[in-house]
This record gives sequence, C-alpha cells and structure tokens, in this order.
Amino acid sequence: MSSALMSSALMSSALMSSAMWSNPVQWAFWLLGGLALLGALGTVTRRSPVQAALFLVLTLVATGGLFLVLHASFLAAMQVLVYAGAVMVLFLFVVMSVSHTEGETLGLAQGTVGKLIGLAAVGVLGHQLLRVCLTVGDGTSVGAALPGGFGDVRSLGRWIFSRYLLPFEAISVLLLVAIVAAVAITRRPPRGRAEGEG
Amino acid sequence: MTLHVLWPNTALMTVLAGAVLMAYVAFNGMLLVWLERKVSARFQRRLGPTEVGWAGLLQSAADVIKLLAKQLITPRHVDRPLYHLAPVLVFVPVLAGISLFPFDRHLQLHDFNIGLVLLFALAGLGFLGIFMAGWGSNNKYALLGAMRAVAQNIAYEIPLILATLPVVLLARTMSLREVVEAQHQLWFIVQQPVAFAIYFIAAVAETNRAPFDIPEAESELVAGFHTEYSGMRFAFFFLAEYTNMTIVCMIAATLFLGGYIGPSWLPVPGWVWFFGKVYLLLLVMMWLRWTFPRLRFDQLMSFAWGVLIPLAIVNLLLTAVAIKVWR
Repeated sequence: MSSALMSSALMSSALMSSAMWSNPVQWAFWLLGGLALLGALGTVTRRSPVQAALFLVLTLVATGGLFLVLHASFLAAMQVLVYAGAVMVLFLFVVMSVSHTEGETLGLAQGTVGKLIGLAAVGVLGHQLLRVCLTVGDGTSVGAALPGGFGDVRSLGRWIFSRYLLPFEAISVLLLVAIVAAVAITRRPPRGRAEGEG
Repeated sequence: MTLHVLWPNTALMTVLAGAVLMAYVAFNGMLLVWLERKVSARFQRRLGPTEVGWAGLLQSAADVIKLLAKQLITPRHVDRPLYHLAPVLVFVPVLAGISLFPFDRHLQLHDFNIGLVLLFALAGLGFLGIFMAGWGSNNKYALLGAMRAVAQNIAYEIPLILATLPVVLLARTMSLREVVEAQHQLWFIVQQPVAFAIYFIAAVAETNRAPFDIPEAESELVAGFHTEYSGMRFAFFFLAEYTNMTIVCMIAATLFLGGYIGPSWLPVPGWVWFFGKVYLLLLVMMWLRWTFPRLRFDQLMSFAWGVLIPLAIVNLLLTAVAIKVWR
C-alpha cells in the first residue's frame, strides 16, 4: 500500500502548484493516483479475498501508469509484467487453491493484535508520507531536471550493473535464499509409502 | 517517454488506425476459425464447411451473426462484477498487443523502445481475465479450468521470455522495429534455432492450444473457464484466443523470421512477407493441434520446469558467452 500512499503524498504536493490544470500530464497523474487510491481502499475493505486481490491489481496497474507519467517507461512495463501479471497470478492461485467456499472472508485484521499491527503500519507509512510531503515540495519542477534517456532500458541497465551492482546482487541472493527456503518448507519429510506423496 | 511515431501523426489518424486494427482482429478471428475447420477436416478426411459462400468462407460470418443474435444468459450464482468484467479484460490486452507490431518498415503505430516487454506485460494481464471468468462463474469446471490455465501460464511464461532474451542480446534492443532491422543479413532463427523451438512450444502452451489445451479439455471440463458464457461474451473469449495465437506468431515472425524483411530482389511489399510468415506459423499451430493428443497435467508441468526452462537458461548463457567472445 506504500505506493498508494506515495501517490497521495505526491498528489498533495501537486495541489500546491498553480499550473495544475493546464498540463495533460497532471490530468493523467490525478486520474492514475485516484485509481491507485481507489484500488488500495478496495483491497483493504473488500471481504472477499479474490475481489481484494483484484483491487490490488488496479492499484498496481495505476502505479505502473504513474511510473509512465514520471518518464520511467521500462519500470512501468515491468511493474505491470511482474506485479500485476506474475505476482498477482500467484496470489490468486493461492487464494483459489486455499479457499473456495462462498462467504469466506479475510480474518487477518480482526482482534486486538491485528488492530495494533495495522496501527503500527499506518504510523510508519504516515511518517514516511509526511517526510516526502515536506521534502519534495512543488512536484511540477521535477521533470525538468531529468537527464537524457532517463528511465529507458539502457540507462537503467547501466546503473544496475555499475553503480547499484552490489544491492542488485544482494537482492538476487536474497530471492534465491527465499526460493530455497520455500522449497525446504513445502517439501514434506519422507514418509512410508502407505501415506502416499503430496 | 521515448516514443517514435512513424505513421499516424495526428489524433484522427490514430483513431482510424485503431479502428482498422479492430476490424482486422474481427476479420482475422473469422478467417482463422474457418481455416481451423478446414485444416481439421482435411486431417480427418472430411471436407469441412462447404455450403455458405465459396468453399464455406462465409460460414464464420454466419456464425458471428448467430452469436450476435443469441440471448446472453447470466447464471444466477455468478459473482456479477467479475463475471461481466472478465470477457472485456481478456480482450483488451490482446487488442492493445496487436497494435505494437511493425507490419512493414513504415507501418507501425508506435515503436516503443520496450516493445517486447510491453507485449509480455499485456499477455500477463490477459490471464487475469481468464482467472476472473473461472472464479466469477462459480462453477467447478470453470474454476478447475482457470486454475489449470493459471498454473500453465506461470510455467510457460518463463521459457517463453527466456527464449526471446538471446534475440534481445543479439539485436541489442527491445524495440520490435529495431529487432527486425537487425535481421537484414541473417534471420535470427539461423543463429538461435533452439531459442525458436523453445519459444514456439511455449507459445503453443501459452495460448492454451492442443496438445496443451488442458485448461479447456472438453472431455473433462466441458469448456473450462468459459463454460458459463454464452453468445457474444463467449465470442469475446474465442476471439481473444485466436488473436492471441496471431500475436504469438507475430512475435515469432518479428524476432526470429525477419518480420517484414524478405528477399530484396523480389518485388513484394514488406507487409506481405510479414503476414505470410505469421499465417504460415498459424498453420503450423493448427497442424500441431490436429496431430498430437492432449498431454496429461503432470507431463505438461514437468516438461516446462524440467526440460524447457533449463534448456532456455543454458541457451541464454551460451549466447551471452558467445557474444562476449566473438564481438
């Protein structure tokens, strides 16, 4: 949900700008930001897990659109490909295989513990939101300072494999560890033949 | 955004081009249905449609009229928003995808420098529609079909993308037009025969075609995820499927078979080459469908994860090393 909060933060800073309605980019920004927020709201308010997941798709796609507005076309396509496509398909697959009785709802945010966790998350994200709002200032001047070729595949690739090589490799190692861990957890210990294999 | 506008430079032209593409999608769907009927008939020593129009060519048009006139039945137990949204969500990415290709040297809407990534992103969205159809229908056959489709999509998307990466390495670009332009000397299928084979097999699986048509195996699942759809809603799924076939063949023609490039001494326009290659590949897909029996689900999965993905990774690594050594 942090992406939606981000967009709302950018939105509030854009509110202060005077040339807000003259620019079609601003219109696109407002539309996409609104859609992202709408999807985020739907995600946390829907009772049906599938509908919640599909609202999350809306948020992710709208965020991809926001990347596009911010001149990061490759990132936008990747956002849709990886998050709205692959990751959401996995989400939905889990939902489908775990629960398909009608009327089943998400029971995560219920009880005192759930509320406390939610409150803590809101606190952390709200803090970040405030910080962004206070430091970014007028959002309209950001686009002017972009270097040539910003956000396209070539420059992104160059950055990832030079300046940000170490974090990039660290992330890939982290993912590998997560995959190995997932396999280790889901793999059942060998049992007798009578019980069969999962 | 780095857009390179090649052909339609006004809003009106863009709208017109969109209309032409939609008309093409509809026409192409009808043509492919007719072709499939004819091909399947020949494979089974029958004649196929013969009555409506010359060689039954208007049979599909008659079917479209039938589908348009049919009553739209909404079963009582469906999840209405999902059920109604699904056919649209299946169709829209397909329509957007087909607008990305360079049909000829100067016949392309926009040449995105990330054209290839965009195509795969759109393909991923289409599967959300299939999922929504299966879930929203609230029917066990539809749900099972959707689950199979999703599992198959995850499994075969990986070798599909991995098989296109060597071409990106060779061409040093993801723009579809520049990939084609890089093939003037030699089509990439010559340098990357393994990648082409992996791509084509994975593409057949991605489009849920036989021998990989497990998501809608008629003998087990009635019609899979679109069991509960009737009339034009069903037609949208059908049209999306045939357009998807066309798109994967267009990708294959663009990446591996030189797109609109043909022998330069022949006075044939580029778009003829492009569509010739696309429809030849489509014929191969039909040929496969009526030749092979359907795979079992575990065979399908182990083939993707155990054979295609390792092979694609090895091929990608070898290509990268070869480029580093010889360039």
